[in-house]
Amino acid sequence: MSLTSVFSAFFEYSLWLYSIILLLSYLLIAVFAILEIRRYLRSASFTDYSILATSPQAPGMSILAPAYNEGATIVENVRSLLSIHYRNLELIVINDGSKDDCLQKLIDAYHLKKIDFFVKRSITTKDVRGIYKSTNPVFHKLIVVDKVNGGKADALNVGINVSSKEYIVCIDVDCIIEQDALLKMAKPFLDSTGSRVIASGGVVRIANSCEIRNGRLVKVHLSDTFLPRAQTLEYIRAFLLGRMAWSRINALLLISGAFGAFDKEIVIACGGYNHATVGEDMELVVRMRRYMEERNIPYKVTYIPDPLCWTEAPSSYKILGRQRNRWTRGTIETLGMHKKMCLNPNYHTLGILSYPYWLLFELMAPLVEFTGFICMLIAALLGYIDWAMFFSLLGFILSFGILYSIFAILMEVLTYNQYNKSSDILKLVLTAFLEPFIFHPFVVWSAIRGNIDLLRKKNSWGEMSRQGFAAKKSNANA
Amino acid sequence: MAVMVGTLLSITIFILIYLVRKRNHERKLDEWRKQLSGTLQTAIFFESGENTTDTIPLTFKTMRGLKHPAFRQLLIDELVQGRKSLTGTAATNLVLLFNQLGLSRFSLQKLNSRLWHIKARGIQELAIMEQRQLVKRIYRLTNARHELVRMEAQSAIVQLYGFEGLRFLDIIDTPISEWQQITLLRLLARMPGIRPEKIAHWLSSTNDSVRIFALKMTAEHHLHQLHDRVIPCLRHPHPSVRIQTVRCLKEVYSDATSGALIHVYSTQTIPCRLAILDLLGNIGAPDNDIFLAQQLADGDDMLKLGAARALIQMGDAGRRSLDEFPLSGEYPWNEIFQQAKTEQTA
Repeated sequence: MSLTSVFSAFFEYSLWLYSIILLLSYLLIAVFAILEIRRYLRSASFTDYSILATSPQAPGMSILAPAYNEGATIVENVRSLLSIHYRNLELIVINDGSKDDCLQKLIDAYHLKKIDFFVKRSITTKDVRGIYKSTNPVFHKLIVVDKVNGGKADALNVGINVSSKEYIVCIDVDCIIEQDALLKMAKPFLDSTGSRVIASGGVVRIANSCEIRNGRLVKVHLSDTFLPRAQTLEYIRAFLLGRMAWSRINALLLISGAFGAFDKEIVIACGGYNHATVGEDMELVVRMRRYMEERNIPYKVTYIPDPLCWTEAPSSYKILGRQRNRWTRGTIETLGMHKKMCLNPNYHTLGILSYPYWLLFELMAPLVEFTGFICMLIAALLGYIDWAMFFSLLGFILSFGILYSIFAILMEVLTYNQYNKSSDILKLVLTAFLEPFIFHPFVVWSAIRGNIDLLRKKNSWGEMSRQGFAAKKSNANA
Repeated sequence: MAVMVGTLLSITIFILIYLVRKRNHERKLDEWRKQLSGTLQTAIFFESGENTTDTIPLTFKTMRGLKHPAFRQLLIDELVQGRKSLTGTAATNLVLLFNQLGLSRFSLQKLNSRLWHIKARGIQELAIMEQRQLVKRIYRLTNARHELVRMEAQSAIVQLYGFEGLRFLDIIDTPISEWQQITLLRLLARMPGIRPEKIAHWLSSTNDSVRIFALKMTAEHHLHQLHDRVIPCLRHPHPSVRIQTVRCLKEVYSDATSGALIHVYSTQTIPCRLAILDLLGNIGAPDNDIFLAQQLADGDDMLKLGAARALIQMGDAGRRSLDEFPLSGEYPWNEIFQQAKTEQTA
């Protein structure tokens, strides 16, 4: 047997093994997701969340909302956040050295006054220029921090230093948070008796085309354009299936930066957000888990399937590309920082299952796919391809992907049914058929560019301009 | 391939059929709800005569509908919701209707179920509809293996028997979650008959969560007579018990509290020390200012701030202690003192 044929056989069997494990893991994810969502919905069906809204025993929560050049929408966004139902709450808006009139707009709208405030440097950050509180008692929950620009991670760390409550809820300031979101987010922290809940995530949904009034989501609509619709499907798949399944086996590695609650004591003990990565949300969760594992403290990271947070998805390929590029770099950086855990039994499920899965099927999948595509092109040019076999396999893989998406739609319909018009469901099904040909290749290409940018040591966030809900509304009214 | 495509089509068709059926079901439920609102109104405003066997009049349509399990469940749900939000005669009448229609039979069937969520639902219905005859069955579940069944059973017993229902605290060997403690405290807030001697007993429970719950009850009901039973909890090995003890003492402190707090201060965790400083400020005993002034030199800035806040709360003497502190002009003391003073004037 020649060296070439040995290499070729190795390559072929490795690819087969990789694909089989990937498909099996998707099947397992689906099964675990069903079990976890069913358990959650059954338990939630006789839970009265309102008891927390009025209870003096409700744990303190600080919402941390970093803002950079959000002048166009900040006043509306803060108003929306101030209307969240929760008794023991403070809202900390961190102006991360915005170049626009973001701070001035807040000062004017909420009658803010600079106060004397000692900021404990639990986590080292860039300088704080001032802390503002409202002279109007109606806005007593609001604290605005003005600081030197240092990026999202640094802004969140300042928020952690300023916060006075036991739990922090980190959000994107332009997200729409459901009114009862914190009541639901607080419950896992209060429910656990055996192990400490260190973080809890909430499902993020796409709000493009939804009706937003006074900073509140009043009616859910599926987006009319393809790109946000494809992301809607992708989010349903990722949150309703992926995260719920990982949460079932307490192996979740990522809580979205758009909406997540954390135990502040553990966050500070771990050193807060890391500004050396653009994937600071994932990195924090991994570091917190690692911290607990290394000290043998029983812990849990939980996830709530309720749609609690609505965000605007990129509606142009340019912005989407930047976002996915950044996500890829964030994942590579995070896994690189914690490579010690890979297949290390001392880290239990985290080291044996979560880390290898992320490495093989989240980080490497685009690379494998892209390399496979190039190899296929070369083989086709050299006439090595058995086309009948090729089309059978392609058909199988495409059908599996579409089936998985349609299964996610089914789960959505059977659980929260946010898109309850039959036409919306049909559009989602159609999107599931189109996604592998349009959306998915673009996402893979963005991930490849992310890999290249990381090699070129490019570590910028990339500008993420958004239309904003308020702006869209006024356009619609015009 | 063909199997895949077949599955794809089947799921899509299933989703569409499901949506249509769901919509029809919701329409039917709305119709029934309208029908039941009349029945519920009749029940709420029902005035029984001298004869206690009087029954609430019901329409033939409602009686016929009861044969349908979904209709029956809807009626039970509506009665449970109504009972939760109403009090007085109206609430009693809803229970009367529940009994008159023999609906407890169906809730009992749920209680007998092997599935935890159905069992828990049954417990909830029976408790809200005041089915005291089943208390023994429910009480046995207060130490059930499944957490949610256990929690519902505990809440049910308290709902039915008030403070007396808490006797399960004597036997449970599992922790009571914070969520469950909040639920129980809310139920107890509406009920009379608190017995301090029972709480005193739970203050020395070997189950830490029972001890914490007892501390919360002591604070909520301002049971000053339990002060001396609370103080030993400051030396409990678990930090969460100790911090709850300090929070409890905030509501029931006496002249002896400051001394006890100062005595244990150095052995506490930072959050607990912060709580102690806050409480010392609240107590405001003049003797505390020397101890508080000493804490201004602590290495932890939050403890410095805690001590400064406490001194400010003590009035002029405390303010003087801040001004006379040798490092008051230096960082971070200058900023900490300034914040404490500003907070006081705000």
